Amino acid sequence: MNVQDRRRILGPAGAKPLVFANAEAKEDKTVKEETQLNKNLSISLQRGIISNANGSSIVETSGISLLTSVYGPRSTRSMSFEPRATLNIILQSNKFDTSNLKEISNFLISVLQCCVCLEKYPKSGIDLFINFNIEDEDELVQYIPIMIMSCMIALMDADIEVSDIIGGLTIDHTAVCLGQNGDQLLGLWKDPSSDEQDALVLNETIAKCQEQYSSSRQQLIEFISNC
Amino acid sequence: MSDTKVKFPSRSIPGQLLCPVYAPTEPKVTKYTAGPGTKLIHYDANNLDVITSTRIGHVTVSPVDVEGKDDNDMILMQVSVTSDEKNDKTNSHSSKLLPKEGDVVLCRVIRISLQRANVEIIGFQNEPMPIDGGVGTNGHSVVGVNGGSGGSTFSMSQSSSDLGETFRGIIRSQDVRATDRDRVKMVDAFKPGDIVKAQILSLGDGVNYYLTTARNDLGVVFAKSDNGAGSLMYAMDWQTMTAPVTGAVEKRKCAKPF
Repeated sequence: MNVQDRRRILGPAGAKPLVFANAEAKEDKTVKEETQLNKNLSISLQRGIISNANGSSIVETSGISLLTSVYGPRSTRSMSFEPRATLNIILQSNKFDTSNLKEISNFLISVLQCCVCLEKYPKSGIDLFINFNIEDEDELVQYIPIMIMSCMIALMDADIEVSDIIGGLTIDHTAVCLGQNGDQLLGLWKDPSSDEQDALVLNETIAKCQEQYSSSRQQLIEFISNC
Repeated sequence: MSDTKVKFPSRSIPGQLLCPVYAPTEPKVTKYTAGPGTKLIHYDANNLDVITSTRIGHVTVSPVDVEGKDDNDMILMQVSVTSDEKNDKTNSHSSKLLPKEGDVVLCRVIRISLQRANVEIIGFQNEPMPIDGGVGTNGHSVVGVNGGSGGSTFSMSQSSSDLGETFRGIIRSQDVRATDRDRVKMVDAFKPGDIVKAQILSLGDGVNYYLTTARNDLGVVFAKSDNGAGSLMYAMDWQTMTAPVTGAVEKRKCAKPF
């Protein structure tokens, strides 16, 4: 592409950032809490990490660390009047195929659209960036619950209004997203690699997720009401 | 039946149900409306309209003034959730996220034509900006590979300003001043680079907010003489400014400073 990016003030080509000898990473005052979900799985939640973003969160479990940042609501360049905000989620990882990341991000957008009060932010866009920092590569579907959790914390940290705390759970390559205390099924992601399941098994999976949903929701509530 | 007044929590979190729309209080029924920080939703499980909290903060319930008509049947109350003051971060969570109608904003003129002045909104009056507000002007921003949320509709040819991705506004020539509004010459009111205090008239079209300076306290607050080459000027009256060093006099629609 030959179009010069006129929106930014670009530095000279090949420029390197200044590094000072005693530059120490300044530590933001962050709220940190460690909670115990199950006996074998502890989750660490933090928010307000990135000083440049409107809201941010880090969710960590064993071997997984997800950094989510929220930018916006910022202006879009849409020519027509949009009465609702546009939600955009970008997954950033070098371990997965871009197409897979794209598919999951579209799924996450459709789920989060159910709870973010988009109508309160007319003609603007909300961008969420999810950065993966993982040790062992797993199937992407396994990360859906933790991604939703980190999105929710980051959105609340940015003071963007959300009408519900939603959650997700993955059982047998099937991710189930629930809202309204588990009464509402917001999204269902079935990994193409998983075996064909009949409706009965699927119903069972959903019922199992509904049981576990309240505990993960409770954990999130404890975290946000403590800070 | 005894009094069934709704008990509100002092603090709430998103998704917490605060109250039903109608509460059977004695002697009148109370009707609650959803204020800022709350949302009216239909709860499927019970087939009920309820008000839910949408942010972390303190719950306040205040009576609604009904102008003119006296509603004898119901007590009207507004439920709202206001964010906590966060003191552990520079990002004050009371910051406004979006400009809305009636807000007084500061903006920078980026282009003028005979009919209008194009401006970009750089701040709110008496309100902190969100941390990434006007990111382009600060030079730090993350934009997704596909251009972020604005990417799908973004067109390079429409970005007239090099400065960034702030909200845009238009001051039409009719909205510059309250009197003699049909004979406004835009060149005698604004110059590119001026910092203008303006009020938002409407959300406008897709790109621009519509702004007005038709009030005494609205107009140019900072301007440099000689199209920005000279020094900062002072307002002499509501339509002239002067540069103290050179004595040059230029025409602007000035804001009343005090």
